[in-house]
Amino acid sequence: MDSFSGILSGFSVALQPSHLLLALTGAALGTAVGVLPGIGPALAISLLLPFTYKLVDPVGAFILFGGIYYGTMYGGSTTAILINTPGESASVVTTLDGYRMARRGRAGAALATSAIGSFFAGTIATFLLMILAQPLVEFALKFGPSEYFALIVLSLCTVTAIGGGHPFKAAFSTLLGLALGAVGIENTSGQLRFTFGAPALIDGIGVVVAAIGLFAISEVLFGLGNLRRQTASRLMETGSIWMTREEWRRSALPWLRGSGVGFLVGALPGAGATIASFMAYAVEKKVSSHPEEFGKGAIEGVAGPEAANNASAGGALVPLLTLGIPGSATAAVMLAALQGYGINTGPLLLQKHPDLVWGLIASLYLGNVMLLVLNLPLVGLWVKLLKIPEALLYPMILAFSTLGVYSLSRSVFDLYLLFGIGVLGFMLRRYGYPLAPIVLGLVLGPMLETEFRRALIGSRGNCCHSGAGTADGTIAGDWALLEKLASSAVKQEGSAADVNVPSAIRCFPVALDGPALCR
Amino acid sequence: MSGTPARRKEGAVARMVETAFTVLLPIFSMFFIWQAIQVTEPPRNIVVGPRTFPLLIGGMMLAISVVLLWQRWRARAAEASAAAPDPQLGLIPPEEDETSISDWPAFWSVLGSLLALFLLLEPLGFVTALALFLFGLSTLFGPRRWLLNLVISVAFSMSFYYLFTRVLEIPLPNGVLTSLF
Repeated sequence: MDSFSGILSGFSVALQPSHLLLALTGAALGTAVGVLPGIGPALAISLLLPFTYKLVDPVGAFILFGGIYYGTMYGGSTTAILINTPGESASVVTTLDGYRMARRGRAGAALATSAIGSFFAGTIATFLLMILAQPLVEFALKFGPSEYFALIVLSLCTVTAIGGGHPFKAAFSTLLGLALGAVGIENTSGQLRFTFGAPALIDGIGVVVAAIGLFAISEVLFGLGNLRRQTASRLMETGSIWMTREEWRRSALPWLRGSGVGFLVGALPGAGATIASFMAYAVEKKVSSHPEEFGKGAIEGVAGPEAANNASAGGALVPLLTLGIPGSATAAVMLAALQGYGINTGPLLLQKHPDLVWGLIASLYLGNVMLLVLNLPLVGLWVKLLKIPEALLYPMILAFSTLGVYSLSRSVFDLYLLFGIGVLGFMLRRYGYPLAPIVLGLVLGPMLETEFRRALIGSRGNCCHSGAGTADGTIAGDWALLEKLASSAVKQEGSAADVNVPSAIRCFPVALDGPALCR
Repeated sequence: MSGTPARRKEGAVARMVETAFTVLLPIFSMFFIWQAIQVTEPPRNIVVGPRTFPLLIGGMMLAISVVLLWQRWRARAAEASAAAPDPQLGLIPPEEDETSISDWPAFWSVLGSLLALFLLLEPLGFVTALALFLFGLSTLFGPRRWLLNLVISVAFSMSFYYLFTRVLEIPLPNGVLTSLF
């Protein structure tokens, strides 16, 4: 089936009333999640799993998740602009110029440029996903275990090198994720490892438990731990959402560049929306003829990053749907959800479940239109969500997490595990260790080991014969990482943000070379 | 403000805790390696078995954590020498980033109530335990709205209990209220 007939069948799936309703629910939930502090897309999808497993089929679940993923990227900007608090980590950059625009009375224009930019970028990313899916799958079908091994190593290197934060700390997070992934039954030999006699650990540490523990509990601890001493930011008036002709003119190119940067970064296994938005901001500042306006309310500084974070959501679906390799924490949870449905992920997904892949892509087009309507004319509705007192919201997030984890395993053991992972996540975040690499390491660890063992079995134990291209790909990934580690060792305690963006850009072409060299 | 002795002491304690945490990392890595060695290899003469991969990860983790410890050590020395020459000015910058906690009693009460919730979930049942947890925490942080908190807490736990047990057909323990619902 070629892409064109694929997408036609996808629309016939996505236009079924129940799926349309799910896409709308996902878009609305995603926007709400984006607006509310403390819940991100990975957490929202984790908490919905008990519902989706029972109530909807995998196609419907994915349409819902896709809506949530795109929706959070729209919603996150609203709070960034209006109260200077990003609802999502991907909207942190938006606060720089978005809030300044709001203070100048242009909040409406900032909201408009981010919503229209998000729509534009989301549509472009979905289109690229649509035309790339089929050829990439055909390419990926030729991969053997050693190619997969190299790709997984590359994604682990990417998330470490450009995943943000102190590079050694990021490396430790990635390794910690891999270590946690080694818990439980080993795939090749069936040997039990690190279970400490607990039967609940035989299946390993669940991705969902880890995601909820790392994201929800640490977020609530930070939120409530600062609530009483916090000075409330003033909510800005939205004002007119019409942009002037000048604002349109200044937004158009940043949308386009943001879409490109966002999609590429998102499609890289291991780099997510946050990196994409930071890089888009850096690009806009660099190409701008008036860089001094950045940080003082330049509309380009809102348009570019907001387009980029949406495009990266589409990009992140590329490796997930074509290779079965998640590119972000959210994609990792989506992968776990697919496995929970008993669906084999990997390049065969498109052949075995075309309705799922094409249905998701088609519904992303529709979801984008819904999101534009939900976020532009109805923005006032979402602002009302901010009236929920945080004293109630944060305990409710914990209550949801408890319900979600308990109902998935029905064991109190998992709740204690959740508690432990939550405390660990808090400590790690407090000292600047990024959390997303842990989730990715947890998912990719068992895959990495299995492909490693398979490659060795296939080549009868000869490492050098396990595919000539593999070494190149792996080395390219390692090189990017080593360069980053080395540069940080030189600069040592430089401000994290300063070191980060330029070296991320420097690593970018290197990391891109990886998969190309795998051929 | 930042120069007050209490603030200063707080900063010193925070740095000590961070160092202690960094010391834990190589210890954890060594524990992981030790546990990996304990894994029994299948009774065949093979080089790459279930032990290999964890040992590799453990080794890399140990190396990285030693570097982190070394970096922490150097940062600590720098902090000490920077603070020493002029103790009156208070050079410790107040940590205002998103990864600091300004209200430690609140932090400990959240952690304590979460543990209490997990411990009491099965004996008390979901509705009671969740309602108590929600009401307790929300009233601690928003004491003036206690009536609203109470109503929302009870409504939340009852409605989600019904949703999970009736609609999703996931049995949840209901402890002391078993005979009522």
